[in-house]
Amino acid sequence: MQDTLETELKQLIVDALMLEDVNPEDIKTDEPLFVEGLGLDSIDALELAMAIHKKFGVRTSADDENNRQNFHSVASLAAFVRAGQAKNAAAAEAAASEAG
Amino acid sequence: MNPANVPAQSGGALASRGRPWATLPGATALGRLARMSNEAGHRAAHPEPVADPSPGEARHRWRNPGQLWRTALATCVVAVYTVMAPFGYALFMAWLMLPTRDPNRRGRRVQAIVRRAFGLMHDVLRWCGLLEFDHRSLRGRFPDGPFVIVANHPTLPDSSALFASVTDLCAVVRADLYRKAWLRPLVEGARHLEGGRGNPLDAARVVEAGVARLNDGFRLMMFPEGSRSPPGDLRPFRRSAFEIACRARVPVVPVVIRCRPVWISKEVPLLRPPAQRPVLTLDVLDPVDPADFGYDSRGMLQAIERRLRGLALDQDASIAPPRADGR
Repeated sequence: MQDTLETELKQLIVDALMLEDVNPEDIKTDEPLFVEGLGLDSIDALELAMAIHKKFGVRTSADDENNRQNFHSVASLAAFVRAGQAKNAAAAEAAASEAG
Repeated sequence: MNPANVPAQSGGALASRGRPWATLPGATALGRLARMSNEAGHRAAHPEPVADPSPGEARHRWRNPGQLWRTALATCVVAVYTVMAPFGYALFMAWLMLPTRDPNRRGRRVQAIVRRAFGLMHDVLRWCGLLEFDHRSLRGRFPDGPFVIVANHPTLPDSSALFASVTDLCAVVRADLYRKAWLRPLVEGARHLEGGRGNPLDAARVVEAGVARLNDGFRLMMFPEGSRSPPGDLRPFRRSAFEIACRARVPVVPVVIRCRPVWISKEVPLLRPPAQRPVLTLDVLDPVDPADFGYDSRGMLQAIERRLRGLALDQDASIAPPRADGR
């Protein structure tokens, strides 16, 4: 399950950012995504955040001080997405119980 | 007169302008020093490729009389600025703390004052023989309407030179500077943008604010290297300026900046001026339409970075004179 999410994220990075010379399997899970690692830039981060919201329903706040940590690597992104999905599920459950 | 639309002039005309003090009887010692400097630094008016001194060379030239008096003048300029600047800032702050119904209109007024102040500053620096630059004699012309200026950044005064040369110009200010209490009213009042604070998603805020400024009719200046250029090289370009231009659908105007010999770079400090008078030139290249790249900021960055890098690092590069149609 964990591997699936990380693989999905790698594929998403390649597709959303149109990285022509990079294959998803070339991206190491713990490798930094920005500057010295995969070499992504701040506009890439912006596009990646939008793609994550679209695919996983997890919204990123531009003012969140944890963004640097969350966007550090595929592993940290996967943890962020899992936490966001769990938060969304809990909110949906709370809303359903209130309605019921 | 809109300095952005002043036609280009030859470099020869530049050398003889704006120095009426030099012909006055009983000119001051400062004026005589300036004339001595101008004679000694005759090459400055007829720029030839001059190798940038290494910090080691700068140290060797410390006893050179030209460098000594330039250091003294630079110290005087810094001292005068240090004494006078707080009064100017206090006036600005008092004005900018008043409520306004139209921040853009007030921003344009602030920018006009700042533009004239920087123009005057460069006139004084030129008259003193500290730095040869005349904002009335740009090589090339800026287009009408909003655009994004991208330029290399070899020296600190290149930003003030651009501010002196272009109307309605906003810039992205480093976040640590933007947040200083004494500077914030001025940079906010002038509608400048706060730069990123290290958060990967800060680009969203910068891009959004940049597009908003352009939609309001302002021009935007960005140094895509993010810091001053290292000697004889350029840092890799960042994409924000190009993304803003693509989203706002306005042209990018590349500007090649040269300062020879280099002064007030990361390596050559303000109070260690070179022996020869530094000459600052701005070459305004033709605007680049993002539509030509399908509004792809990455492709646009690569093309413009390649061109700017080639021209800025070529010591013998000559920029074609402006075309007959004034572009």
